[in-house]
Amino acid sequence: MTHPARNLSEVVHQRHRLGILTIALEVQRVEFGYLREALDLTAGNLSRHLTVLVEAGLVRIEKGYVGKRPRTWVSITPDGAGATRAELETLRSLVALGDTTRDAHPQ
Amino acid sequence: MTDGDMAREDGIRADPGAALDQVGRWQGDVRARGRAWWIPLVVFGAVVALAVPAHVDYSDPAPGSTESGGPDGSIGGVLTLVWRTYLTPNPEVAAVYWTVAMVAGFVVTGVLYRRRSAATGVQGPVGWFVRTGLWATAAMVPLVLVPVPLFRTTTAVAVIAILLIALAVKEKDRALTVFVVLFAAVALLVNTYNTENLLYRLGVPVGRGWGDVPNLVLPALVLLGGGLLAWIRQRSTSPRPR
Repeated sequence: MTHPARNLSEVVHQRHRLGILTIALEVQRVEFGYLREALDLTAGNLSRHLTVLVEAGLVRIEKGYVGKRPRTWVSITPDGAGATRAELETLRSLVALGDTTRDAHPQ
Repeated sequence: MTDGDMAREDGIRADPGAALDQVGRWQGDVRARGRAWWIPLVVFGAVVALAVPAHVDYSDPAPGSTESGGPDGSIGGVLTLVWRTYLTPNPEVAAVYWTVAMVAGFVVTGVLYRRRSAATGVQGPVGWFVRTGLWATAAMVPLVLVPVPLFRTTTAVAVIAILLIALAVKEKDRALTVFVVLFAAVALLVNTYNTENLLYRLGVPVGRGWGDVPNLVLPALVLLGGGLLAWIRQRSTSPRPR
């Protein structure tokens, strides 16, 4: 049997990218500024993480204007939704495995 | 990647429980920010309330009857005159009202959600709600075109209830779920029972020609009341829009 940690995706499991994906999974679309604030990232760092996710086909970027202010919206793709759910499932498996190990080897 | 990023990545592997807790906080925060379900409640509460004039029977009383046609009172008299002049009080009028008002309701809901998302940076799951609502309304159109009493006046209330249940599932909000279950019960009641009878038993007389009105006023009040409470709750608990 393979350890659940082997199922963690290199693209998804990075903390900030997991944050982008889990936030985008909950809503129809989310604005760049909200992600920067929620994940406590600089614009440059957030852009780099978004580029990785766009190249992997996990999120979509949409640019537009609200009045004269430019806005960048991020939405999750079906592949991104699947990858995020799989990642969260793996994390839950790891938590369950940890609980089982503790139960099997009580201190 | 910085050393900090690598350390945090290792942290996810080392402590997946903490990572899941953080994920839960992100999810909770973004849901709270994007929540705006008072919008469809108020919009469709208004749609149901505005249907009342289309459901009042303004026809003349039967020959020999001493009752006057339509509602009593000066405001009712004016309404009666207007509707008698411009509209024929028949099921098709109500059906046309519902078709137009439902389409307008879904479009307005979509526009208001988008306007709110521009302020908060988060757009809730409204796209499918609007699309599904328009499809459901389109499915009701044959009932408008066929002049048989298939179009029960409150069919649209049931459609609204079903879509709100689906919205509650998408929004993952317990308060909305409880509210829409209550509203669905009201929708079921007005679709299967004439609530005028309830009022009669309570000693509240309903004027001639107004028999259908309680079936609309009850769900309209529930939607508008729920919308108002939701608006107050969301203003007090959501983070301020940026």
